[in-house]
Amino acid sequence: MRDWEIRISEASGVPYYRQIVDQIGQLVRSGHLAPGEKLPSVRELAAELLVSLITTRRAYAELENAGLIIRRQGYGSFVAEEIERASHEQALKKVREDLDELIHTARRMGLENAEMRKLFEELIAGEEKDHEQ
Amino acid sequence: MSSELIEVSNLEIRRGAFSLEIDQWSLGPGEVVGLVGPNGAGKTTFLERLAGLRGSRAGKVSVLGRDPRVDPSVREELGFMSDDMPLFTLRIGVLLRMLSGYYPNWDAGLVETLVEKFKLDPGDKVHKLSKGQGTRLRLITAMAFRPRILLLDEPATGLDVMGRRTLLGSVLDIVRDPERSVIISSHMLADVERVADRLLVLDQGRLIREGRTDSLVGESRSLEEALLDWGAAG
Repeated sequence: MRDWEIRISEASGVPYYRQIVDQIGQLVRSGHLAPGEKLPSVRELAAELLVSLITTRRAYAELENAGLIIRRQGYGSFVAEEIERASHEQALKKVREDLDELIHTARRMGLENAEMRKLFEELIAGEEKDHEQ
Repeated sequence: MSSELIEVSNLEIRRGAFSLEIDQWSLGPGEVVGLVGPNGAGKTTFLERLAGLRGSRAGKVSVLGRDPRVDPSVREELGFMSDDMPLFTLRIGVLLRMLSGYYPNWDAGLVETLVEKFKLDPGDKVHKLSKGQGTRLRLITAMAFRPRILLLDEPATGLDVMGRRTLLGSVLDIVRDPERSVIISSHMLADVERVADRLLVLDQGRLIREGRTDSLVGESRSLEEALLDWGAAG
């Protein structure tokens, strides 16, 4: 028997898939769902929460993208092992891609490397100051 | 053979001044489709045609490879429930026992569960049921033989919150089997939006929107608001 449950709120205005992502994410991060633990299938969870299959499928896809769950073809979905590493790697990858795109844009607009470095340093310093306050 | 459970092409139905025309539409396995639109849009007409309860002037309807209007044997795999479907004047228990004899796939366990969940008394007389009790009994008779395709026409009429939840749970229980599908037509738009993977939006006999529920409705509005935006609220 499972010792966790997801509650769907119709009144919150938050899309159902987002509610599922947030709550499973929370359960994984808090350790209520242990690494390697098997999750209900998309069709099982949909029938349990009274939400559509696409909603549940979308939630699982987002959780997988975030590195929180792993889907094994033919076996089902499982809580990812070493969540920290997986999510940190995902974060690095995402920021790297975004920065890469920004650098391309900046070059196209004629910015020099030195100017870009200075701007980057300034922004990080500003962020740090904001956090301290 | 196609993997689609239902295929409709160039369908044209006339009923007096009203006409329903659908060029192309299909129902895949393992999905819940919400059929929505204002009163008089043609929702019931469409479902009745799919169930083989009415004919059409032109076009093709294929249900599991057969047209139920031509080959009624396909109805053994097709459940149809409408809120004004007549019921025999018997006690609930007697009616259910009688119907069970007609269907080889009749699932007595499922019937028992639903009778209990819907809080029906097998000893009650069918013709003395309230609107909501009648709806629940019709739902049970439509689902009891575990059809491959279930067509629901306003299945929530007279249901209270718990009844509607049982209904939604039953619908989603059906598609736990990826070979079975449900079409649900209802004015309970929040319920339809909640369980339907795809939508089919009719207005004045025309198909005006069709596709995945999330991409049609979007995140910033409800299905009700979307219908207003499409000019198909009624």
